[in-house]
Amino acid sequence: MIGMLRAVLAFLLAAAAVTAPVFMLAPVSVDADAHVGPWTALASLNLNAFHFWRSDSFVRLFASSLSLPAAAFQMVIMLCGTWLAIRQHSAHFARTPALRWLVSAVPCLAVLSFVGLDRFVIGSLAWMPLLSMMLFALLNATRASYGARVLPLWVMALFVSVQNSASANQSSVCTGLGALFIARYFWERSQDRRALKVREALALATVALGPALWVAVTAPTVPLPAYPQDAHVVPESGTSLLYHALVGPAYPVLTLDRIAAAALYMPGSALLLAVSLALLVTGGRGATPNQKRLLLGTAAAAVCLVLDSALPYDLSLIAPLATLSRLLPWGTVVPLVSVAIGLVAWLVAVAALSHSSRFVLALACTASLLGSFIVSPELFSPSLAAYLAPSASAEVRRLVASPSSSVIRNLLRQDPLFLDHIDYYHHKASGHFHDLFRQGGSYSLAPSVPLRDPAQPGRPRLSTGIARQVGGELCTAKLPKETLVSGVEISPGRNWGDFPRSMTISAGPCDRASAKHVVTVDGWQGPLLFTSDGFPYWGRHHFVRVIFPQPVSAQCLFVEQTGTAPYDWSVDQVKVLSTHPQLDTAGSSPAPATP
Amino acid sequence: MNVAASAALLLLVLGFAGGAWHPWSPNIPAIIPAGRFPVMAGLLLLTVACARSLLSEHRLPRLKELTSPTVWSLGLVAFFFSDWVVRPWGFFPDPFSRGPIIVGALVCAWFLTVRWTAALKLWALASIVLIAAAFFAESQGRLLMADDHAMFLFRLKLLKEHFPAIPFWSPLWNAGFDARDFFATGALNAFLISAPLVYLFPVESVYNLIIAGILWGLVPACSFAASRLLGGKKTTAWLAAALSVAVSLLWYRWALKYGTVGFMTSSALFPLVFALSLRFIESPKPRWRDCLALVVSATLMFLWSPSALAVLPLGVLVILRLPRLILSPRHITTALLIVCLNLPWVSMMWTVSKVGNFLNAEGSGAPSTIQASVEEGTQPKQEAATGDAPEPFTPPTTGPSFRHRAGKLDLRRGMQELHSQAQTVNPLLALFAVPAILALGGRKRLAYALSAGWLLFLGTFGVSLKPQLELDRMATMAAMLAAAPVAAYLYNLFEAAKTSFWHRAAAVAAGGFLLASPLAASTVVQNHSSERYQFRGQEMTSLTEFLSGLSTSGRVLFSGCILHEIDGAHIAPVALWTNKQLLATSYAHNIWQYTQPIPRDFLLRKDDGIREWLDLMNVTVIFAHEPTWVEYFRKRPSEYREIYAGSRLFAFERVAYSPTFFLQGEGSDYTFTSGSVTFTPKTERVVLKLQHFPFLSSSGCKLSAFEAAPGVSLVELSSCTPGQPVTIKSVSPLDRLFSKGARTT
Repeated sequence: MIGMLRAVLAFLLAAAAVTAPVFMLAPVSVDADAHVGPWTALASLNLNAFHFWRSDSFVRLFASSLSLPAAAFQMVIMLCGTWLAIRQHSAHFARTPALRWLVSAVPCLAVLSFVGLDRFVIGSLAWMPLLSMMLFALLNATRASYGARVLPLWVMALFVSVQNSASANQSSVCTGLGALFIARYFWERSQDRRALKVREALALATVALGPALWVAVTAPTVPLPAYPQDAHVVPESGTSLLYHALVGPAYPVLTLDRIAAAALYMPGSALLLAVSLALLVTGGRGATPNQKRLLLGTAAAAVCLVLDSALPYDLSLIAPLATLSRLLPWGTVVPLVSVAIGLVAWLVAVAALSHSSRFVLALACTASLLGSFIVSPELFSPSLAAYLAPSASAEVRRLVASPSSSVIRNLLRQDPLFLDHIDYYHHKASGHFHDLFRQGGSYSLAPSVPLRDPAQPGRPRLSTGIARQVGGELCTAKLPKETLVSGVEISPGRNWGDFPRSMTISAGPCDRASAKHVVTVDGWQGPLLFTSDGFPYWGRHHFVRVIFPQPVSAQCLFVEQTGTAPYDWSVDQVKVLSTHPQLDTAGSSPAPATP
Repeated sequence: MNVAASAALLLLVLGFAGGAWHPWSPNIPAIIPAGRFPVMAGLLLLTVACARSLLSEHRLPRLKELTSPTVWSLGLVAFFFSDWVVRPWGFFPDPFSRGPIIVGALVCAWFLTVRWTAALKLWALASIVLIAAAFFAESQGRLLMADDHAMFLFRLKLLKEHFPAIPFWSPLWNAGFDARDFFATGALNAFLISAPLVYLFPVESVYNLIIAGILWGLVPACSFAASRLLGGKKTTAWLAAALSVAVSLLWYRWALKYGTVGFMTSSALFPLVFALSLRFIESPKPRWRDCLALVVSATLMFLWSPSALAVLPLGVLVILRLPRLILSPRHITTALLIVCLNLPWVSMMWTVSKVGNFLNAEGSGAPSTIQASVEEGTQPKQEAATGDAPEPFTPPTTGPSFRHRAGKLDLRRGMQELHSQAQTVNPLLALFAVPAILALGGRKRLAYALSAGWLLFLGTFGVSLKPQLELDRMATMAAMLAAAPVAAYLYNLFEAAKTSFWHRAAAVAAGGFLLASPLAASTVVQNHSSERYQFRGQEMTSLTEFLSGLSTSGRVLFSGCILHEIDGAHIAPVALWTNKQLLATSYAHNIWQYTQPIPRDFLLRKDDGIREWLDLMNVTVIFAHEPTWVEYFRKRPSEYREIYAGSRLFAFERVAYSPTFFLQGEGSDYTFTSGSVTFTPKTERVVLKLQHFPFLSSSGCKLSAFEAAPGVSLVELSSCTPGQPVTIKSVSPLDRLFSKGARTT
């Protein structure tokens, strides 16, 4: 009796521990305006994911009756699944239910520690531990040839699988596969039983993946703002093809910000790899085969995470995690990398809890829980969250909780007042830029070689001519007289790869030392453009057009290229956005609606 | 296995097929600047291997010894790390395709630890379903209309109405045309296979299903059956089926983008026909079931006539076995059945389609009009069709008129063609075809080697010899043929995986490519590759709706040169959808250069000539898509009134013209179907504004030609009974075949 009371008390304590962050942390994903039935659009502030989302009916029932966030209940369900998993896997806590409840909180908290309060990840992983245990039980029963006699178990497993699919939604195929894999390779202890027959394997796979596939097929696609065909809303290199989904639905534009995800998850991935390697090195002796497989699998998964976040952009796209994202339905729409890092954090914690050495166990658990202190602060307080305060205007909230949030986040680095001045940018983006050469101005590029025959009349066409950008290249544009300038356009001409990778622009008198800094563009992504309903996006990279944070009075503009690339920087035409009456009269070109 | 000899052969294949080799990406300097270097290295190594074999074993290496799977898998590894993966127009659609190959290799390694035969069978089935599902998801219920798909849709609809009475005459296009291209284009094989669907449902509602059925039903089924006929196990057959749906990028270009349904169906049947033929030739007493299957499948395949070229090498085997074959009643009966089934349509095609002229047309410069135009020799051919239309009155010129340039046997050009073909083919087929064929035994090896070599020769060196036949497709047929032997080779490779680490590594490398192949095909089908195909879009829908609602008693002309400017499709079916008689340079894709619909003599007389020709053809509404013609009509508001403006098309109604289908004499109640024209003459003699053909007949009148203008021959009816309805249609196909005067146009 006392033992049971102790266990209940421990459960309550553990439940409180795992639900507390739900109330304390700032969410990294927020609701957007679109709704379809139970589905609500979810916008990730860090990764720019934008998709429909819903909680499973079981959790919704509890959450609505108690007026508490669904994520809190999902954490409790995760806790229950973890409790069962540790009971099966860890020798230390197999016989002490109360203690097991307490330590079961560690893997759940590790998930939060590495991904923040991400409703997508919490929903995805909530039912997965429980599902893996149900599948493990079914595997055991089937291998022992009494699978047909445990019908209630099949029904229960199916129920959990349905809940998993309704909770993980678009990522349910991923979690269903994960549960199956974990059950088969990490939980199963004995391998000496008979092999599964094909129909038994198919039955198990159907229980695990059937509901998930159904959800993957029927999940609605959220309508995106009317981005034109050449638009992009997440950073990319500008010279390679966009990678796209190989299976299942995909948006016409890529919304997942892989570069932000790599920066965000790199430290956490490295820590998980370090911990899993430490566990692998120290835990081999005395471990059961399935414990060894768990350690090995966890380390391999952590390697995949590190490859995904540490490799250069183009190479990371052929790494296993990015490829799996292309292979799994919705993989290019929802951030499966977040689910992967949450899952690996959970596995590492479970592996740590079953480690033979209590010292290593304590150390690994501490590292898992303290991951939050070394990972990016963006995980716990996304910078864009500040713009979603109740005092923020509805328009700003609409823009931030949209697939354009990555554009906004990047522009905020360029101009911290970007959102305050968004109407100014919108207005200037559709302004008329004037051909400097036709207005009597001139421009130069240093170092440069002329691409056009100097004997031929017409504006000069220049290129750095060394087949690479190394930083420090300078384009100087000289206006006929001092003018109020709000933007500059430097066209590379027909060599589309020859755009500057990063820029620092200063303006003022033609003495560079006296010129004032105007803007720094770190990682050129294309011109800032707006859809008809006001959502910002980037045009194509070679369309080099920069709007200044505010108009500057200048006769000379100094554009210094500060990036590196295996391409020249070519300057074929320079245009300025100015309010000077002389420049307004002729030679103006309207901004195209699309790049 | 003779590792050195295998490596030598691999180097030869890589050298001939790959050209220059850059590591990883084309941006990195080449480590092998030209294909001749690996070829030379291969020859050197082959010499060494032969010498060693002679010295140690006193014989040359046996062909089977050149198939070391470990060595040949190294070719795949080299492929993976070279720029071949990311070359433009390659089989793998994007630079990130290495990812699926890596994941495929990992999954394959896992497969090999479980029951890999069951896993591969499931994977093959899932792959085929995946690609088909990707097609339907991409279509979103829209009708596949890319390029010639529109033509095939049109032909299927005509065949549904007229089969078996083909060829026939139709007034739907160009004031009457000879509907005979069912033979030359191979439309009949697709029609016969899909006949239940075509007759039970509206063709438009089942067209996508027919195409999907051929591409992902018939193709894998035939390769599956071929593999089984060659003695493969079920897993091998499933592998062949999966490979057949991921043959090459060009396969999907021809199938989905160009819509050559006849070629598609024949290529699908080819591996089956080949395997059945092999069994038929080799077996002293073939089963009747196999004989019947051969008769049916070969007949269906031959309905796309160039496919006969593909089976020519089997003639060598037939000659080798001839003494025995001519004594076998089953063989003789089967051969006779094939001849009897095919002779009627072949003789019909030969008679009506001027096949002899077509086959020798590469030097004439003007053969493409053989198929369609009644104005042969009078159609002006203007400057090359670059998309920019010349001025309306630009005098026409003549020139080569095929997709490929004609030329002599050119080694350099042939090698270039080989490189580009090898680039688009699934690397598993490109690299493993040689060892897979060498690994086959006896006559099978000879037959496959001869056929693959012959097809490759036709597909590379033969292209310029007979450009009108577009023989580059034969290389795709070679790849399709190779699917079954490669599947067998892969099966043996997987089975040998448990024997050694190196075999396992080779199996994993090949497995990576194998598992990634359907994903590459799925990418093409999802329109994410460099080959994009189209479905019916807004412009075609809008055009059809406008024409359906248009009330006019004349014809509608498409000015300038219209090919597939409307949603990338030919406009042939518009006539059937709108029940209007239409005019255009060509409703089909049988011209390869800019051609005006208005004959040269009329064009040269400018406004007067154009007006006269429009009157002769009873044109009341004109569509223009070229700026020059749009401007021409807009500048003459007294003659042409703009009545429609689409995104590319503009329509103008002739203002001062009273439409009539009667040039001379009078008549009324003019109606038409897809195969006839009916009217009631009011006078004894009538000249109709219909092009005259020698095979036309009329009920109740005497039909003859009336020379309305140079090159414009219209239908003249005399001895008519006024007030009695007259029907004009084609004579029966048999009359046309046996009546000397009514054969061709």
